[in-house]
Amino acid sequence: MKRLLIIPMLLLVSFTNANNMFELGNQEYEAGNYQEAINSYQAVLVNGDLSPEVYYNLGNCFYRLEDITNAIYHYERALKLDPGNEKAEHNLSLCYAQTVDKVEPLPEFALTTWYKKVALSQQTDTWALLFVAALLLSMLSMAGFYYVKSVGMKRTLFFGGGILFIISGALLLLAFSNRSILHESKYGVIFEPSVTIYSAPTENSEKLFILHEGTKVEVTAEKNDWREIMIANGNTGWVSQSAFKEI
Amino acid sequence: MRAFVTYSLVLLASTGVFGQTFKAKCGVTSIPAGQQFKVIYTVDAPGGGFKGPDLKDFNIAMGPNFSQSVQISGNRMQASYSYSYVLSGKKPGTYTIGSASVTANGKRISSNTLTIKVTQGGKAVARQNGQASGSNEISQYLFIKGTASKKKVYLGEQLTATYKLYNSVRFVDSGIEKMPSLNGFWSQDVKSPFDHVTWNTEYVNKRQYEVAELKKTVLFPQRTGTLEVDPLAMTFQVQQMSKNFFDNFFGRAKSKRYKIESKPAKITVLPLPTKGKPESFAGAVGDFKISTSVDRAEVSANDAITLKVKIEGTGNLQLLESLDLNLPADFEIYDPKINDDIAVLASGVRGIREFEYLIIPRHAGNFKIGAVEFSYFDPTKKKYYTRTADEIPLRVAKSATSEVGAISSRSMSREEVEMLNEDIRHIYDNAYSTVSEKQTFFGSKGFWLLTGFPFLLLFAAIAYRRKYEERKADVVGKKERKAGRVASKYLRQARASLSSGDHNAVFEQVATAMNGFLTDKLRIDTSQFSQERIEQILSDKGVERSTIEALHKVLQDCNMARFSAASVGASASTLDGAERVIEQINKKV
Repeated sequence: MKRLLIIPMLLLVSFTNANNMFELGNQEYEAGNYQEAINSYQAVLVNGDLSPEVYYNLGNCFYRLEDITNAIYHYERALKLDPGNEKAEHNLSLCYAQTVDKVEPLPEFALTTWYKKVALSQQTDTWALLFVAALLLSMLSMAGFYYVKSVGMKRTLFFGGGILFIISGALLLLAFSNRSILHESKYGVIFEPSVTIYSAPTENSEKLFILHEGTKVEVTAEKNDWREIMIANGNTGWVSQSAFKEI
Repeated sequence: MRAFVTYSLVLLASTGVFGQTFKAKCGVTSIPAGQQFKVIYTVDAPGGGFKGPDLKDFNIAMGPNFSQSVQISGNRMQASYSYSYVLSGKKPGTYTIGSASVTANGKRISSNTLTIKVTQGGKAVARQNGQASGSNEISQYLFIKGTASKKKVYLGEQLTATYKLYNSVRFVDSGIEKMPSLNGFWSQDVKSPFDHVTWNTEYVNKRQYEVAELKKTVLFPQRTGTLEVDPLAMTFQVQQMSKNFFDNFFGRAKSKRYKIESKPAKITVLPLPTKGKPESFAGAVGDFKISTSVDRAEVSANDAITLKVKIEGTGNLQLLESLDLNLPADFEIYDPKINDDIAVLASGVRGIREFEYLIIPRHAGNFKIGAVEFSYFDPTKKKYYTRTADEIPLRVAKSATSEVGAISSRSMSREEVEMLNEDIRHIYDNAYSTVSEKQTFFGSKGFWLLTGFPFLLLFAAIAYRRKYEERKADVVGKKERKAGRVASKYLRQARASLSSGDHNAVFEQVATAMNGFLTDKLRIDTSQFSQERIEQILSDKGVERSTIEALHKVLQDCNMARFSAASVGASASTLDGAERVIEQINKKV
């Protein structure tokens, strides 16, 4: 009996612990101890969970410490988990006004943002379960179609089954979208103060242009330690993977 | 002639009182060919833009030389500025030395012309001394040797030209007739005739000579092909040994003037090979080393650093130009200052040329600078070499000024400037949501099983249902078909009875057929068999009223036939009616 209780107890404790760290971080932020706040917030996420609010708060801490690059990085992470978050977008625009490279980020299509928000509104497994349930119901409905005699009932069951099938398809799509959004590592932020972008994945190639820290890039290809990146104005080139961090 | 010259001189002299004068003066009016004389142009105000006369008929040993002298007598200061030539006539004849011009006090003024008579040169002297002699006879005793250290060189490769005077006579006077022009070479003197001369003794062809090195120059050929180390010419006044002992003793021996010049040396200049020529090659020929250094290895952005690039070695150092520093972008580079520590020795030009660059990094970062590439051609090894200086790590910290200063290098839009005054939104201070990256269900085996299950269920249900329906249709079909068959059998019997004339049998058989058919078809028990019931069921099943009435008639006829005699017509029509009814009911039920 005791053993059965331990696991939920541990979960509870870890949850409250994490919650405490979050509160602690907030207090430290209010007090102006930004570095301590950073430590507390990072402790919240130590078990591998992701949280848009925690990332956002971390972004604020770095901004206060005038580490604009880290601020940008964390705001972008927050937006990945919570697309269209207005606070994060606002703070991010302040950051981009202070980066050395003036690269105008393309605004995302509103529908895309809305869809991402929907896909992320549940956990992946939740969508999967709902999908299985809807599929089962739809199949039962279709099966029933064959068994009932009344024409009216038949019609209801057939259409009902069809609609449920479509719904289940949508749920499956949401599950996939959710997973791909969380797992994609398409974007990164340059952390090196000044980095050269080459025309090929080797230093013996032509130097194309220079990027500075805080610039957001899209990763399009990889080879060994090199990544091919593209910036918002369409320019592409290769850079060492150590020069940026993936969002 | 003399009068004319004197007259024109006097005329010109008289004009000197009123304005600037520019006077030409010559020491002699008649001179033997080959003998040097001086022509001096004098102006009494500072002048510029001196344009000399046409001297194509003369050899120019020296000139134009500029000199000025100031004379102070009492309260007055008199300055004079003069341009002088040392000339010698080429061929006998009467020549006019045209006027020279100069700009003084804003006005252009010309000098007077001079007339000079050139008489026979050596011959005249010989007539004087009563001896005929060419200059060849002296060449055994007195000559200048011009040598080059190498006869075949590459473009830009250094060689040394030496002019040595071999003397075994006594001469009382000497002068430079002509300095070598050394066209096509860039030259650096190791020793010039104006330096102090030392004499050594040498034996050549069993004759003793006093040898002096007149000129030693390091040459760098600037074009390919055949170049010439051209002659150096001097004139000597050589004492003649008279046959008269007493003349010699008392120094009354005559002296003769000779022109001595060195033989030219031809130099073949080869072009540099194209094979193996590095891209960074810029004309350096010799043997070099390159090194770089900075004055500071850690700076802040926008601070200046001095980068020194040192090229050390021997060769055409002084012709080296600025190199490509290969710095990352974001560095400002200014034109370098060149510091030389170079010695011109007999063995060649050797030393250090240092380029001092001022560079300013504009952004923070860790850089590696100074890996400057320098290529040169080594003429002794006949190969190109490329040397790269070691790179120097440089740490540039963020500018000491605020962040805004760092991006002042690009202009800020108005929105950006406005944004600087805005502040960030506040933190989330209530709750936070979490998203787990792990998913345990989606994509797992259980998930796919649960996805497949409903489909299986559906197919099973459909299959099962189909089978059931099939079976049911079968049974009913069987019975129905059976019903039809049984009825047909009895109807056939009835037909047979009809044709055989057994009318009673017809009615009997028709009745049996109908009864059996109806019970089977309508699935009713014989106990429930009543006409009303049958008709009820039939009309429920949608059988037409006409059919039901026809059936009623058939059954009635059969009943009646049981109790009364039947006629032929009646049995036939009853039979027909029965068949029709059965057919119609079969269609409906």
